[in-house]
Amino acid sequence: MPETQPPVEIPEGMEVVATRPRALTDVPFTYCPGCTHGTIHRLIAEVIDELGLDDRTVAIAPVGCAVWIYEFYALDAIQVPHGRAPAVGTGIKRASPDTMVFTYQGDGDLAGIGLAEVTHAAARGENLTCFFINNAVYGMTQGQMAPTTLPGQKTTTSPRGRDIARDGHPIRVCELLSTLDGATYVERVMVTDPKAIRHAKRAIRRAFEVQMEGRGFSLVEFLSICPTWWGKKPDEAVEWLRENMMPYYPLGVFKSAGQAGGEQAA
Amino acid sequence: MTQTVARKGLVVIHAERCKSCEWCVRHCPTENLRIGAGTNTRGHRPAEVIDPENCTGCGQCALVCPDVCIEVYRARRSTSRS
Repeated sequence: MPETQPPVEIPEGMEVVATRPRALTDVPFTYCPGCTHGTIHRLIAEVIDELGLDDRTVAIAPVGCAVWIYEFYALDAIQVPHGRAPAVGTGIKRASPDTMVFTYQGDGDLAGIGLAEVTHAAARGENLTCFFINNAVYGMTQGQMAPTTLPGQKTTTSPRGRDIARDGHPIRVCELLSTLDGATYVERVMVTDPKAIRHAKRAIRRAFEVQMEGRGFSLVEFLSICPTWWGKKPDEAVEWLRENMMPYYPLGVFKSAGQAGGEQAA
Repeated sequence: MTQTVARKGLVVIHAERCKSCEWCVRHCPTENLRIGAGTNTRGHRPAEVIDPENCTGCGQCALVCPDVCIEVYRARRSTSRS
């Protein structure tokens, strides 16, 4: 249901502090109230606006809640099978090196079924950017256990909490990918307070700059909340993220190679 | 759409897009936002500005809004910043 925003007249003597980025369409987000997908969408759109990339960027939509990002971004976009975004991105980037390519993937998509694709894209040092949204559950399919679900965390398929003996350990994607020589820039951020949001935007910008300079693979992981399937209000979910996810998934830059690093091996 | 003119700042909330998640209410430094009494066509109760005079135009609400339904304008400073 497209919904156009009424034009706002900027009052005399006032400057714009915040407005809708041009890289977003007027389509309202389909996410649950309080979901941080929308925040991350806006940050990516703002960076694309600021770097002037909107006419040469291709967004790659995952399978998951964010499957409709081709509706939300005023960019060229392609929706790919589950987990295959870095593989399709590789094709686009190699066929058209001037195109900016970013994938937007959740934990089920990137850390589950698509772990092979993203690992090999990073190992090859493909010159593209992955945005990895980690909310520790499969949000779209009703909150099942994901590869990043924490030990003891209750989900619809682990009602007594994730049991390490039965279900194995969660995967730390940033740590994993930062061991690969092909990965140039790997950082984990969160978007749960204004300071963190500003920092996350800088990380997105750095990732795009790595790609613009042709320096190889970049990935930004966002610790994200899923109020609906965590069964919490947004503010309680943020608190839960701070207390439980942050100790297991520490924030920071895991890899930032210099000019020489991360060059294409081929 | 709620439009409110203020001295220092102006916050425009696109009520139809608001999902009543309260991110903006929790992060307003002057505690100048609240969840309103009315509902939009989707059944959410949109946020609204309490006192337009009290808004500083800091943009914190728009920064945390996950649904990009807040626009913020700020009075130009006479010295620079234009």
